[in-house]
Amino acid sequence: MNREYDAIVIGTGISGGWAAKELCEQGLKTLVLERGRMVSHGDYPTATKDVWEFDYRGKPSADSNSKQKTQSRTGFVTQETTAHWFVNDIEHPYNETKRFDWIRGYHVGGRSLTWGRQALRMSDLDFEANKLEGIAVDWPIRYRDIEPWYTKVEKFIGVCGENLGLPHLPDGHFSPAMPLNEVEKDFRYQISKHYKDRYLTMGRFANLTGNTHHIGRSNCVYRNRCMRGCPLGAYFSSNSSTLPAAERTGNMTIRPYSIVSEILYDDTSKKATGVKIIDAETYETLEFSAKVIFCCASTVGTTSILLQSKSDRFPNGLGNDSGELGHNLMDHHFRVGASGTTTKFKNVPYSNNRPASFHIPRFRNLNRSEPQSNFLRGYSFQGSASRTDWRRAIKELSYGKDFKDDLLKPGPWRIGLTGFGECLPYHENKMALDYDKKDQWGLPTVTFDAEFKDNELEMRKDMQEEAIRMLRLAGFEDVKGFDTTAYLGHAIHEMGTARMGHDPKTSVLNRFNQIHAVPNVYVTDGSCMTSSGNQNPSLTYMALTARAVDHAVKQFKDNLW
Amino acid sequence: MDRRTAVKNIALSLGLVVSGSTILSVFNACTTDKTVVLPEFFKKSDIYGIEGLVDIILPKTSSIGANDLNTSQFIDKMCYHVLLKKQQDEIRMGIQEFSKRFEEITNKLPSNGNREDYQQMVATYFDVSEERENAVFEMLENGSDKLAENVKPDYYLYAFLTTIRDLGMLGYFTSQVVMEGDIEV
Repeated sequence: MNREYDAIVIGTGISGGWAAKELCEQGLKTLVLERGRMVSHGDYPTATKDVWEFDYRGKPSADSNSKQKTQSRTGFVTQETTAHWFVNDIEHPYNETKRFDWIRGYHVGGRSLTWGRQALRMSDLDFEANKLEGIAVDWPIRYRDIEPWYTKVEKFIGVCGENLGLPHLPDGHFSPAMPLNEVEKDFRYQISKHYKDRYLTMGRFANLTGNTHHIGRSNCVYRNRCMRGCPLGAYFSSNSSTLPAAERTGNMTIRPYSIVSEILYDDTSKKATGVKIIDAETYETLEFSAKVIFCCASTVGTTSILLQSKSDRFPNGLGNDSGELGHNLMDHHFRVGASGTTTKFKNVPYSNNRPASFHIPRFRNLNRSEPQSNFLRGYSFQGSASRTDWRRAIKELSYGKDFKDDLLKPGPWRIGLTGFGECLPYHENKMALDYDKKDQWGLPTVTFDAEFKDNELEMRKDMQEEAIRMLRLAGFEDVKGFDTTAYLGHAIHEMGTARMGHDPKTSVLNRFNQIHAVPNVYVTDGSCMTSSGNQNPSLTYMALTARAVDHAVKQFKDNLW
Repeated sequence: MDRRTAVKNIALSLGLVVSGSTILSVFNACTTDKTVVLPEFFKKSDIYGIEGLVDIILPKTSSIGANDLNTSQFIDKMCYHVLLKKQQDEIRMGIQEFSKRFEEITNKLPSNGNREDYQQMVATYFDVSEERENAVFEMLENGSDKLAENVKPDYYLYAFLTTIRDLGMLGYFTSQVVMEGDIEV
């Protein structure tokens, strides 16, 4: 196997796929490394199974749960339908000073196969917030810097949705939105009637609708089994989209089972020269060289690799002059909101198979000239209304003929809202490496020490109260709030541990996602985030990656490396 | 090797599945001439009781009932493969408690009970006030660890009964026959 490439991409998830595609399409011979197994598009073993075809009707077995014990705490990733997309916790241990739900998918495509597909742009309300509030460090970019890259990404991945003209949730390049059902339409009307600053829109999802053409993919047919992988490629993943695009160029070499243990650094040239890997199956150590390296191994993975990459110049990890590497760990906090029922709309046609939810964009702290909440930043809601099924009777003791006959019919409509809240970057929220506890490849394990703090907890009170208020105002019955204790990692939006910034003394990356002191190493996964916003972050990772590749290729072609 | 293991091993040697008409006729209480699988979690004597309960909870009417789908077999599989050890232990305690109370209420062993006896048992423990129902679920959610000893029998009984009910519903309503709507008798 060739050991020299123009570029190396570490990771094949949502960022790595984009880096591979863009680098290869720009003509760079690119080695793409993935620590887990190969998964080709269509290689989705549960995608077409009906619930009765699963041994345990989709429930995780005790044996499966024992192997994914920490991830099973989330309750939603280790089901029989999707457990194969998440790692074995025993084979891949980590440590918790404070609870952190680290959800990992070690295979080609990573978590792009299982992501929520909500594709939302960040705005200058987000990019300016740290600076205006004196929190952490300023983002080194503004919306105008990333706007064309959002558009490029949206056009390629395919996003359905609705433009609203809101400055804090910028419009995009969308195909027709999926339809709201009648209950959601009524809720939308009620919100518009009661609030001037709140909107309910169909979520912006990376599922194909409309008439646009995407190579090798077809429109969503509402199977609502996206997390299992879609044989139609109807939602965006690395497997269905970016990696095939990279493959078509003939410039990509993909190597699964390749655990990057270190990025190699040459102090003479002040640049990285390549990577050292451990073959996950044979334990063999290999080195590959390249002129540019893209770190896209996910937030914790990338940060671990950088921390492991020690040299005389960087004794605390590659590019860690600031000491911020591993710090400022963020995640969105969610699982707080409310639900309600309605006895109306009994006879309207319905389907519960739409693979998308509605969205109520942020409405708190939008205008700095107006009174602010007793917390900084804001949150949005995602939710849906659907007819309840037989599960509505689980917490009952009813039985018999009438009970059975009733459950064979659709139940009343139920609507639910779940908030997604911004988390501030706190230096003390961190991950670190434990060299006393190594994994089977001899690499240090990760220890998490992070928690949501007063600002997030105050925000959660408001999230629940406002969810209840909106549902009651809209006329829903039996409205109940909920607030499930939040732990970082649970939203699977971990980010911030190698943040971008203006100053090498306080940040790891510059405005083009280059490590300040090692300019041929780019970091474009979630670790680059300077603040979290409240928006689902994957679209921003993809846009930043495309932008960074554009910069890298110019440097490469100008022979600067 | 105990008798149950021996029976199971014979079944394994026969390819896991045995016919209800063989000398190994097991837990086929409500139907005949069906292919059955030996229970993994419950004793075969328990299965009669589970089928008796399921027949009351999800009875055959103008549409098929849970026993038409061998739901007890599904319940057994789920208890063996899906429930955690602590839950399994509680179910085992629960079935003992159920048997004891069955005998107290009907003067029969569960294996000798008829449909009316099972109807009476279910009514005794499921036809309760809303207040009692809420208290039962609160007790189950809180777990048994901190319960007073004199309340634990009730806990185990309801852990068993609600598990049978929940898994029976899961097996029935997520079956191919029911989900595809082909349920008329």
